[in-house]
Amino acid sequence: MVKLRTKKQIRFLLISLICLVVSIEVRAEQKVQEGQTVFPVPPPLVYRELFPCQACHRKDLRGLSSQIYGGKSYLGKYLRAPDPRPRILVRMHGNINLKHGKWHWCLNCHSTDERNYLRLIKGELISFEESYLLCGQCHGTIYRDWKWGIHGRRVGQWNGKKLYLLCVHCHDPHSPKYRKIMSEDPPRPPSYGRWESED
Amino acid sequence: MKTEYGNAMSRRTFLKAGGIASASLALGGCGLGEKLLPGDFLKEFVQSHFKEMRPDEIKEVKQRLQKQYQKKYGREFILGTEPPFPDVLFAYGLDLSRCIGCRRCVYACVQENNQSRRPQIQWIRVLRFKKGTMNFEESEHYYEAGMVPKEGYYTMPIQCQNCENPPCVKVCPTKATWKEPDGIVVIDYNWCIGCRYCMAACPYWARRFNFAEPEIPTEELNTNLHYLGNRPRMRGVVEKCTFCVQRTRRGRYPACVEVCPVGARKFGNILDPASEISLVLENQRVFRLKEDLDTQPKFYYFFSI
Repeated sequence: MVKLRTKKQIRFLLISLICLVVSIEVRAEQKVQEGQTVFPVPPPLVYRELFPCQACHRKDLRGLSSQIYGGKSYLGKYLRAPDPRPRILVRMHGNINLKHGKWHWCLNCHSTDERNYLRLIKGELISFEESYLLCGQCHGTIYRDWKWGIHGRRVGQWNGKKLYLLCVHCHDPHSPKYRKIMSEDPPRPPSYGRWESED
Repeated sequence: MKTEYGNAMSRRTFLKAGGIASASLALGGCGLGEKLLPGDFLKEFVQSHFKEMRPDEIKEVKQRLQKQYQKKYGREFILGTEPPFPDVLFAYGLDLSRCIGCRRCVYACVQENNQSRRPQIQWIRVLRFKKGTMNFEESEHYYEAGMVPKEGYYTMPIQCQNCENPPCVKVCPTKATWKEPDGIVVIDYNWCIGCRYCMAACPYWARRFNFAEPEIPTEELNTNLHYLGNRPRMRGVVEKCTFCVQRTRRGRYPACVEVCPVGARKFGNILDPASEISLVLENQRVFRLKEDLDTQPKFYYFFSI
């Protein structure tokens, strides 16, 4: 056991500890599967909204609420340990209308512990940029077409860099049926020699 | 010579005037005209066919047109004359099982290709059919705007098919329209005389005629131009889809491909086996419109479901 004598030594030890923790975190963030093509995609829409999920679904505070607040405080209720049972969400995420097949539930796709990630059936964690892997688990033929460029939209260069739009850019993952959109105006009918009038 | 209308013109004067006119035209044809005849109008008048222009002539024409457009519209333009890529043959795919008939492509095309807003010119035409039919005479072209996809109907956009054996090119009396090595059928608007034979020859109803001087709001102009593509047209010339030659010759996707909200439109190099369009042809059920006419369109409709 090293004896800590001076303030300097203690400071050095603390700094090195922080560095170690940070490096572990960074490595977890940059997890890239071996032997898998990573498709360039624009940022997923979830990044504009409630992200990072772990800002609320905090692992470090989990379980503390009941001890500190006795389960009574407003905040305390949200800091409970995750409840894996399928139920209707009332207090939060009430706007999510889950219409995606039968027997679906948040934790089929979202990781229970690492809320900033999605979870494949195998248990592997993937980031939201790679959500096509998750969709491809069930929709195999569509996933194949998407990789080829037959399904879905691409922008950029036909002979070079292009961005592949993710499944969730067009389909809401919670109710994936393509929603109806408003069509543009029809062309004006021919005026047969008369100067056409402005609508 | 005394005509019945009373105009007096001697035979000698008439021949003199004719001689001078033909001499000046001949000089213009051999390049001397540029020096002898002042003014952009005359330079435009004696301009060569695009395929016959020397590199220095192309440069001169580019500068003149840029100046002319800037004067007319008050904005800076970039006029390109990019040649085709080698070993590239463009083809287009349209997924009929995905198209919802929202007409986004029509208006993106109008914006990108500087089509006239008044009188209205649109290169893409979206036809709506009742499900189970494919009779063009019963299809609706002017169907009203509303929420799409509409139950019981399917839609089919039609634009220039950039045929490999284009009938419009065969009939052009001035060779103002031709097929480029990358497969795009283009028009030199300066050589188009507006006879509209090509419009009559086209079985896809794909060419449009500028009956009046095109009107485009200055702020809506696209300033990235190509000589053979979206440069502002004049009255009395024919225009059509060129697969956005100003974009595709610079490596980009056509505007309609990028805007399609359902991703029904595919574009690429048919000679590259890994391109999207090659994979479509290899793996999907594909058909070409009016194939029996042997126009060999490079526009493939397919079903992915």
